[in-house]
Amino acid sequence: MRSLRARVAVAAAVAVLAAFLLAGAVVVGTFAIEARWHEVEGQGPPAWWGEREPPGERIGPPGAQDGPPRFVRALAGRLALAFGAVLLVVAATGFRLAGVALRPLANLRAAAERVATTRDLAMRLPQGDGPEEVDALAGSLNAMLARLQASTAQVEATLEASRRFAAEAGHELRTPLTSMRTNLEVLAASPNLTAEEQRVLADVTREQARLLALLDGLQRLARGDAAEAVPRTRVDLADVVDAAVASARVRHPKATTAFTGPDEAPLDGWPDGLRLLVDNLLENACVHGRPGGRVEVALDVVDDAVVLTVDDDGPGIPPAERERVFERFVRGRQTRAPGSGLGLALVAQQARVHGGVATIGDSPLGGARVTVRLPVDGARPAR
Amino acid sequence: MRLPRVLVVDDEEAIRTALERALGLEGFAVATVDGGRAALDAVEEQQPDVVVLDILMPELDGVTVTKTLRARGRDMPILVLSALDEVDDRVAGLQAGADDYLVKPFAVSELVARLHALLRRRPQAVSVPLRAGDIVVDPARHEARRGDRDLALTRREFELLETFVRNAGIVLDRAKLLELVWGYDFAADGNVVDVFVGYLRRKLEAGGEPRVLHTVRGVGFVLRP
Repeated sequence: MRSLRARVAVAAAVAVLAAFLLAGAVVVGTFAIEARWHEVEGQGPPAWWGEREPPGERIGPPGAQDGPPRFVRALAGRLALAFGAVLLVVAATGFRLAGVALRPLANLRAAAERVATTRDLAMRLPQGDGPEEVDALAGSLNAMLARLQASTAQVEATLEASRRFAAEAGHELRTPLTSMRTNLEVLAASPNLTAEEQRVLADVTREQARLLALLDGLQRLARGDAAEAVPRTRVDLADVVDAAVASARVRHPKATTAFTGPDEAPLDGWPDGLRLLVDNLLENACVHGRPGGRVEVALDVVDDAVVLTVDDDGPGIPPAERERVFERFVRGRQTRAPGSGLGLALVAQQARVHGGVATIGDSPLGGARVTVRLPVDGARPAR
Repeated sequence: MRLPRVLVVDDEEAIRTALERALGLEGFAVATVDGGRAALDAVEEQQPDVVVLDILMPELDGVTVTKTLRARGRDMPILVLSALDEVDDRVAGLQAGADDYLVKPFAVSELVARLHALLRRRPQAVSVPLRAGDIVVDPARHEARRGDRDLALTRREFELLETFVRNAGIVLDRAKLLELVWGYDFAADGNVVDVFVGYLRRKLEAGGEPRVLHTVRGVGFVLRP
């Protein structure tokens, strides 16, 4: 029995039953002793014994085995009836009274549920106006809430500080990198460079581009971490993929990028984050797939989720590396293509921010298939 | 022939110097200023043909400069520069009336190609009002309406809508739109098209009207009134 209230009612009824049985035993016992005493003294049955049944109707041998007279049997019947009625009344009253007694506990539960649904850790449970056991419980829960609130505030302050640092550091780094890139381009346009100088310049330019890719990735990751707090809007993922595919075709004109999917694939999400996710999936497929190869993007609405798959016909990713490549700065062992090692980490991050998951498998095209499954209702990630 | 005059506005000296050098080599007459107020003065004094404007600046930012210039009737092309982490600022810049954006750091060749395209004078079209369904665009008065509602479009939004109305029912891909509206005849990332189509849709549907500007998957966009 799960209900405390029902347990209390049953306990009351059982207590009454026990009391009644005890009282019955005492009454019957005293009567029996008295009757026996009369018989021993030879006085015959006591006066209250009443009339016995006529001898002809008696069953069994005469004497001690004589059954009780009608009066006693009638008394027993009424007692049983009264007992049943009392039991019912006790159970019902017990149930009502238990409800009243347990109301402070129910109020406490309602207050705790409000805290759970609003996620407002600043709320406190009512305390001081209930029975002392419930008050003690509320006090313990309030202390727990206070500790939770303090540690959450601390975590958020730390996160906010690191976000601000990432944004400021990124901005400070971007400015010199921008002017450096422009100056490298000016230098590269100079007609007076020797072949050796041109090679050195090409090396510097390539490394500078790598620095920029790293900075881009790190800033996007920092921004993505902050995105859990961004309000969700209705986003048509089919539109996002369409625009991202058009962009990827301009960036990688040699690859053939195809997109199939429904006209609409709406979900609740963060538009910039979803675009980032799709951009990085496409970039990954175009860079690590076969040069001049085929990239196939497919979108499907399955039950309450949107499923995005990106296939390439490159060398694929070995099963042993399929989880690790979603980590930051991890690149496939056989990879020679340029990259920061942050692209798939961004994909995994945005999938998680949107309550979804990204996985890697084999593509029917022969290369890697990355699958991202996103819930339509934009569920928040589990903390 | 007169060199095209470009005004570069950025609070970072290193970027001003690098851009002055690079754009100078590409045949522009470059003037640089280090902030929003100086930019407003320089536009009045020098009448540049095009402005390259950093979004994030102390004091007067790029969005405010753009708004002020447009409010004063200065309609030279404005290209805003934004850092990666300023997506919202970039959006605000385009909504304030800028024509295009580049994310720092950018390739000089890309900046130069865009500036040349933005500078190219496109032939003035016949200025009779055009109609497609309940949408009317009037190039002469620079006015666009849906039904009775004035759409209050920025210049680029207006030109994009005008192009769609002229080609109503015809699917236009991003490259075609970049060429028709921005004058970009090189392979540019068409993301700016998606951004502006988004703005146009919002303004076209602000009164609860049905969608008329549709996406055609894998191709581009079409106005079907």
